[in-house]
Amino acid sequence: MEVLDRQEALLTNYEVLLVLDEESARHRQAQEAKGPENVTTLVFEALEYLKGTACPSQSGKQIAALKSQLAGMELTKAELLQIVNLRPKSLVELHLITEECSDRFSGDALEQMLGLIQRALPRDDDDSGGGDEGAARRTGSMY
Amino acid sequence: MFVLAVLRDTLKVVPTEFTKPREQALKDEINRKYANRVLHDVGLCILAHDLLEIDEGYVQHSEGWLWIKAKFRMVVFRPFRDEILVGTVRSANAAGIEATMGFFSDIRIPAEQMPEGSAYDASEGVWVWRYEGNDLFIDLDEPIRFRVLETAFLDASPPRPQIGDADSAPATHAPPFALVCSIADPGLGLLSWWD
Repeated sequence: MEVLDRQEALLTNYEVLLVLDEESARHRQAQEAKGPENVTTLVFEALEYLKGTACPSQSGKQIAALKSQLAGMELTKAELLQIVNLRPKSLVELHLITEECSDRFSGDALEQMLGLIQRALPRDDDDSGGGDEGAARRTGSMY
Repeated sequence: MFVLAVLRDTLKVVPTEFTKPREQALKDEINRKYANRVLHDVGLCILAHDLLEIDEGYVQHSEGWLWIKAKFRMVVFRPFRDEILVGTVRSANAAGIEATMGFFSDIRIPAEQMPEGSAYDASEGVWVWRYEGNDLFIDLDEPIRFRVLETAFLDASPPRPQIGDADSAPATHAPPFALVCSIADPGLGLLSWWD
């Protein structure tokens, strides 16, 4: 075995979910011949984990749309990746994901970014109404 | 959290797999060989992503396997430095907290990476963050957000043969791949603190 490139590309959780889903569907089809134990265990556990994250409700289109909308914000690849994976709902989460956040972005820009993310990657557990936004402002005010 | 790694290996396809399309048989063999295993300095292998190159293969005399040289891409769990991840609290002791992500459980949050004013409550067996007069408990099985400080690989050699009574002490192996994490910044720690 030879490692040619340890890290050719970064993957979003959504892309990994697709690979896992495909494998798990194949296992379900071929019921009598289940895959080796290490594969079935990993597929099961990783799917369990990813189903608890933001990625099952996403689609390739949504992610591409969000990427182009955020293009002007000068985010790094790693920051974009984490925005897609974690789908931040509050300012405090954005501060965590982006480096030197308060130097690079104004409060308005961050609010705008949050709005973009929320619209581009809608989620079932978004509260409609002001409750959630109020909470986001409160935690954000720590800075 | 996940990356693509390019690997090259000579893979064997056993005759019972000859009924499958060759690409699928190879992917299955890659998964059987690599899934849920740690490659040193690469990460925890998840599944084969795609095949880049394969040769025609050859059969050695006296066996029926088909050996194929393949270049392929593997989905690998390898968080980068400063990445924010979410897991659940698995256990706690005075040295810190261990967290798990289900498929990966070697996540350590050492005592010095707790938020300021944290202490271990030995009677409850959990960590407490004392923040502005409130006691915030880090209960077990709670979802927790943490920042990756370090990805530590250990080149684990095979265990040495046990001398003496092998049953008395269960062997503890250091994990070949572990994450050292922090919850010391605002926004980190239990998700319920920041909702």
